[in-house]
Amino acid sequence: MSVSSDQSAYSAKDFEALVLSQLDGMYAVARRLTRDPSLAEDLVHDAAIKALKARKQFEPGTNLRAWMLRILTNTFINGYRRGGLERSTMEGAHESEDPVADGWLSAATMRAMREPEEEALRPVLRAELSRAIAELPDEFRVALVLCDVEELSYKEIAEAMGTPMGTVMSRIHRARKILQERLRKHAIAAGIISESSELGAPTNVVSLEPRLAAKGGRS
Amino acid sequence: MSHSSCQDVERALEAYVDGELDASAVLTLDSHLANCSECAERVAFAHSIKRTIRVEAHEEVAPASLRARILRSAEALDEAPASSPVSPSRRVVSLEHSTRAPSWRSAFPWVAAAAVAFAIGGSMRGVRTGNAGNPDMATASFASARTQLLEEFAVQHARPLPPEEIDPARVTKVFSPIVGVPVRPVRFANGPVADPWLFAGARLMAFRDEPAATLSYRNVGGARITVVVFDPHRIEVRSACCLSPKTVRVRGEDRTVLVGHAKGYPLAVSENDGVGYAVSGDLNEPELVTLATNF
Repeated sequence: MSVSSDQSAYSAKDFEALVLSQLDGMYAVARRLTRDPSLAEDLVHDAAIKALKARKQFEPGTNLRAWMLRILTNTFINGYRRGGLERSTMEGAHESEDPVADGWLSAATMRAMREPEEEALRPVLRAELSRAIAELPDEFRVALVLCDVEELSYKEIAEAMGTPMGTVMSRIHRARKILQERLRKHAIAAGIISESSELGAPTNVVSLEPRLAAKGGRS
Repeated sequence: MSHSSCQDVERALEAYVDGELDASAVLTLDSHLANCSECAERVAFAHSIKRTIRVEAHEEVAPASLRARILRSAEALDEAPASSPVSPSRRVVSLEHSTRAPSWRSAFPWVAAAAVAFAIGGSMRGVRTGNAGNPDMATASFASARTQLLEEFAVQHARPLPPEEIDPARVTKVFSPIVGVPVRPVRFANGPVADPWLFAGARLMAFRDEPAATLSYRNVGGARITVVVFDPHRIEVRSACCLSPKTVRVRGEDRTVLVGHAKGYPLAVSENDGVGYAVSGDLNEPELVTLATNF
């Protein structure tokens, strides 16, 4: 047995430093997944230790961040969720809410909800966005958080969650629709937009187009 | 712009915002967006939500205590395969040929080595090695499932629940019949630890669906120790991995305590007169081991 039997892999110390360099990102994701600071710490701790134990499985040159997020996601899905697998019921439920979830926002509404000069939501909506994310069904939240917080690719998310890419895309899509609807309601409540300025909750885009065209020909 | 183009944007909007479209599709979309303010607004809005989520999430950084806790666990992980993670000098005694020698490290895959299982039978000395086979991710999670019991113990310490009973006599009277073994809060006042541990209360908890009592102690400095009292016939620590036997001589008698780490806390498991004790606390390992021999 020679010391150099694993030349291709990192030394334990180097690998530990690499894993620790990812802590902030892992924590950012964990906070969004668990909704509880101490659980988030537990989750990151457990995932980091699993990563350290699995050092030999990591291929140098591949994406360490995606690899660690895969471990974090697995740890979360297998051990940190309250209750059992909600997937079928939750997705079913949201499927049936399609007309609401796909509620359409006008360009004017969208413009009113974001900062005019920068790519950010108006501050008054940001807290509502965080709340809405926290209340998303687990599967939707995991997919969205991996996509938006750490900007993993659909493929990497699919690998992390052990689901086909199409499922990932549909989860992200549904998650965003739910968030948009929450933001719309909050914006109405906050007086940013008025209910009457909205076009209701159409069931599909096509039916909107005449109205869209009638709205002032900005296009 | 034709309707179909706006619909194309609608369909591809998320992939566009997520950077998942190929270059030619991006060009097509960009040329539409340059001429369609409605679609441009949809894209800008989607971007602003995505960016807000990202920026807000990254405003929080991992606390320094978390880093320290991971390092502590990593250190334990590093040492766990050796029989005694307590102090280097002792380890030399018990494992002189393999202390920190690199040859030992390459002899076992890391994961499997960390998952070496020690069994506590009646004598608490039976040693069983874990599967040193293919240490893939599945093995890692399997090993982690087996450490679950230890983690459950540690969580009692990490996140204590309020006590149900603070009167030591009542704890013994009420809890013992439920747990199935005598539950006696220990008086540490004359014990080996200079700073006495005071009984702070107890509650019943289930581990693996079996009842056990969780006893808390505090010292004047505010440090805590948590002792889980259980019936070893009902809750088997035998299958837990990552525990190393350590023998300590107490009052002329050898006592074996199993030592490990979970959730960043040291953990000592002992058995005495048919009663099982799992002790975790705000202590270093030698202190904890000494303490555990009081049970």
